[in-house]
Amino acid sequence: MSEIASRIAAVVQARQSRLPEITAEMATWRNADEAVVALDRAVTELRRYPATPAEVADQFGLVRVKDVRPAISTTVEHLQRVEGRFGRTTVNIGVSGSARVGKSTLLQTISGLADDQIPTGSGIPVTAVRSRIYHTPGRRRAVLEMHDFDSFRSAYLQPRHEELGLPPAPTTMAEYREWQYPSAGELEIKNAYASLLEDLRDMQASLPSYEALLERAGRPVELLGDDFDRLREYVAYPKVEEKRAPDVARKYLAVRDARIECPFPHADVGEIAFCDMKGFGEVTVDADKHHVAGLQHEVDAVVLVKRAAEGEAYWKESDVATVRVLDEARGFVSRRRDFVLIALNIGAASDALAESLRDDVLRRVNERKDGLHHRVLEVDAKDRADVSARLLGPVLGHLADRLPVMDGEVLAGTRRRAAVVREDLVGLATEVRAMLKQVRGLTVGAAEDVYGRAREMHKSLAVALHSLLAELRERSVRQDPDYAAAVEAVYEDVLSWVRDGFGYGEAEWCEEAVRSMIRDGGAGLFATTELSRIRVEISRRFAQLDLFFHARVEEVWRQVADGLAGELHGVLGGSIAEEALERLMKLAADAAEPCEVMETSLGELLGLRLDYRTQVHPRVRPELDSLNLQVRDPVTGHESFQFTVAPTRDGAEELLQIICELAEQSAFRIRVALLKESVLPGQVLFAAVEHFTDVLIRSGAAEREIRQFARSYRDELWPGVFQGLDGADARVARVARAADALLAVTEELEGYRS
Amino acid sequence: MTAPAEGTSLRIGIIGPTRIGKTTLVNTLLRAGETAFEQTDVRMRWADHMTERKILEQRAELEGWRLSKQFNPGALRGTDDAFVFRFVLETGFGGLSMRLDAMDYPGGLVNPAHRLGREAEWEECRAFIANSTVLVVPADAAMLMETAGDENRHHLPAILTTPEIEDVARDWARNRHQHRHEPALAIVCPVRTESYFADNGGRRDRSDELLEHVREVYRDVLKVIRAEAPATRIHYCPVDTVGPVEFLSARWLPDVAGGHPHFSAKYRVRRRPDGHPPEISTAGIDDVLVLLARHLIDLRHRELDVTARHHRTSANDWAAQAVQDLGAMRNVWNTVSGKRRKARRMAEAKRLEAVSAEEQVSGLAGQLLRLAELGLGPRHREL
Repeated sequence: MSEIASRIAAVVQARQSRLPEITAEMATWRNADEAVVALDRAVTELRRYPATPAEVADQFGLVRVKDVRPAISTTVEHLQRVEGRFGRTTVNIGVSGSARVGKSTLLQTISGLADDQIPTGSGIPVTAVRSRIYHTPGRRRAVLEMHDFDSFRSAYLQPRHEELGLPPAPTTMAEYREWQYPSAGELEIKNAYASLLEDLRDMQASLPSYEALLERAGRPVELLGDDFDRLREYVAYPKVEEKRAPDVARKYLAVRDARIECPFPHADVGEIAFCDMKGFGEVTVDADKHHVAGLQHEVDAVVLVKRAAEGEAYWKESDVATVRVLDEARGFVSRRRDFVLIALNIGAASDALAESLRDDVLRRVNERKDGLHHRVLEVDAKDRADVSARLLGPVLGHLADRLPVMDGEVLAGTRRRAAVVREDLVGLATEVRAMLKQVRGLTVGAAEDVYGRAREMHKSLAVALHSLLAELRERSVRQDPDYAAAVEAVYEDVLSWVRDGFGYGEAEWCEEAVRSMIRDGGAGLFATTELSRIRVEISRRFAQLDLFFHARVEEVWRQVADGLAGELHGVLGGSIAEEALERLMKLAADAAEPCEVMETSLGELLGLRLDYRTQVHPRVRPELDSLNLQVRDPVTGHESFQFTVAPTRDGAEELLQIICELAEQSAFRIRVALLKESVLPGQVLFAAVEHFTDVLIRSGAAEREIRQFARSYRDELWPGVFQGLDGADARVARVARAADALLAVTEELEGYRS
Repeated sequence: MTAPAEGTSLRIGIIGPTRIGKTTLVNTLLRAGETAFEQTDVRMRWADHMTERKILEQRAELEGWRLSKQFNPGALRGTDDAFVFRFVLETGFGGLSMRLDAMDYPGGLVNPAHRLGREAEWEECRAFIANSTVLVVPADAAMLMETAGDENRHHLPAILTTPEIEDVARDWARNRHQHRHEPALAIVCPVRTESYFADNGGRRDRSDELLEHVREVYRDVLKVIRAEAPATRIHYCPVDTVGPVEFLSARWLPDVAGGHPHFSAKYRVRRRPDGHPPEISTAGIDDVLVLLARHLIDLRHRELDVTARHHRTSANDWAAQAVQDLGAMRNVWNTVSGKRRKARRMAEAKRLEAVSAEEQVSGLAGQLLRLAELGLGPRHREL
């Protein structure tokens, strides 16, 4: 391998070695894009979430997350170019220049191919398809990448339709086949674009020649062997004579790209390829843009061919435009002379023409300093040796020297641009995080909110119960008219019973008394028995006050439940009074964080009993003592009978009178004693509720247990709030995570500095 | 001086609303007065026929319910017109006695609402009470005890006329204060207390509770007496007015005229284990009698002491005059004219009067001492 070839190989290898890095960097940038998308989605969801506070939504509305995506896309494109550049297995040299300057001739000379593969001609443009010619020892073939209808439409039809102001180009083959283009003169168009309409008619007319190729669904056409010699059919414009035929074939329209592999005559050139750039100045839409795109993605350097021919031996304005386009394609390569070399094709030219061209180029391109802006080579495009010595060698030598530098410049330039975008990403993520800090207080974590709500609930319960206690306290220190009425009612009931002969009727009672006394031989047994019965019955009837007491207890339960319901209605489910308190007690026991003190206090309150027998009767019991036949003298301590009667009818009537009097007296005294205790029910109820309130609100465990209760039943207590808050919180968290992920990616990108 | 001279009456003022038992109290006093001072020769008895008749009428009524075992205090005839009970308190010494008057007036006169057209009569009653040496304030024990916790209790001041009693007590206390050198006696006397003591056959002692209610309801009356006549001794003497009866029940009956409701109490008669009719006994009345007797005899004692001193001073003056040296000529003349003899006779007479009065004073002092030895019963309190 020649020295040149070795150096070229080294360049290629060096590029290849950096490929993984570029690939990884691109992947990271794609990750960055995904991170941006995720951040945008997270921010959008947060803003749109109903429970997100308006201030938060407004804040995040100021962040234009997606605006950075085009810059990422551009960065990725640049890196793709770098990837493409470093991924090439050959050093690619573009051959450019106006039509008819000898590009194809030069390529034939370099590649050893003939007209059948690289068409040449005179007078009109010949090359219709950009071809890439690879030095491939031991092989001769052409691989033609085909358009499909859509890419054909995009490349050829739609641009012309737009330029001519026609409706959008047909979208299917069948539609294109039937499309009616305006006839000549039918459409008012600018002169410059008249050929575009002619092109459309010609292309449509030639459809049969390339239709089948479009329908290959992108499958390439490989030309081997003899077919290789038919390459011209696919890459050249029809000749003049061919255009006169009724069915003009324009297969080139279906060919997107042609890759030609053949061994170069100059076997020691190494891994190189030449790209035949389509001629400048052809009247096609966006032809120059296509040219630049092709140059940027395909070639490492360009040889601009200029021919010393009559009328062409000077540096024209079109040449200036061409250099401008080529310069645009230079990208991050710092020196123009590194990317574009000028080849003066002086093979068939006279000395004068050659001199004229040489001199003009020196003056107008290099400011009279040879090689100042561009290196200028002279060559006879047809002469293989000349091409080898005066073109290939210098060009390859130049590339061997400068490609590493150019590669570095391209990479550095790409990364410089990428760094700016990276900074933008960092700024975006930082801005979002800063916003998150600001709005944190607005969203408030669910846990904090429960805490705050529990505190307020604690206070509200205290206020409600305090109000109830004030009412109960006031009732506990004054006479209770309802209690007095209940006592009077029971008292009257007892009197009625007493006056009704103790339930038997006076006559029946006396009759029974007489009979019993006669049987017993005296009044003692009957009187004792009756007094006992009457004592028990009076006590039993007064115990009916339990109905009043129970009603009072139930009322207090109801009042307590009503007071608690203001805050706890969500868990009480419409239950009231005793049922509500029982439900609450069960909830306290079953809470995710059991509230034992609360449960106990509710249990005690529910266990409240105002009971005549246990609480009141002991106080009034002494009033029944007179309902005994035998009584104790309080002064002497002696037992004696209160009375005695004869076992006769008169005696029975007297006995009835005596016992009625004693019963009425006891009943009245019980009544008075009960009325003196009229504050007792109020005091008992007040004390019970006061204790309950102390435990529930002020005990050492109160605050903690209310918080626990709130946490356990927060969704019932405050329906919808925490789903929303949780959702808002989750979304805020998601934004935070997305911003962090983006920052992480930018840190990864930081490591890709040149 | 309130204590009248020999032949005039001391007054006992009894102030209370209608049907509180003033007449029954007086009757009880007299009945007890016959036997209360057994070891002292002190006696109290009616002083005139009208008083005797009045007392005997009521005694007949009370005897009737005793035998029938039906007691209805509401059935006792109330007082329609003022009547002055006249008593004699025999001191038990030297024939000394004192006349006592106690006015029984319609209790309705106390209440201004029921006094229409009888203002002059009421003023006469007020004047009698104001000039009394003793003030007795009866109180309805049943009304005080059986209305505790009752919503109608707020009617008590109006029904018991405590504001009017306070007014009269003020007049009396001021009058007493004007005679502050004399002892003053006020007795708060709950009546119909049979149900609240265990010393009379009752089975429960609620005496402390009764005292507490009296202090509460008559607080302002006591206060005004203390304020206007600080030297007054106020005594608390619950009295069983009729004996073996017990409070049974009560009702508040609305007043048809729209006034305060009426406290209607029922009583039962305690039976004896042997089935015999109960005996009338009036525990507590002895304390009232003893206090009255002490007070009145004390008054008389002071009066006589003043008289005795006066006589002694007069005797000394005459004696001094009889031996006075007025100079030779005057001495001779006084002797000649008989003046000295007269002075000597006068001195002797006054000395004898002084000795007599001093003996009475001493005698009454002895009675007072015996009365003091009688003591007061366990029901008594000094307020």
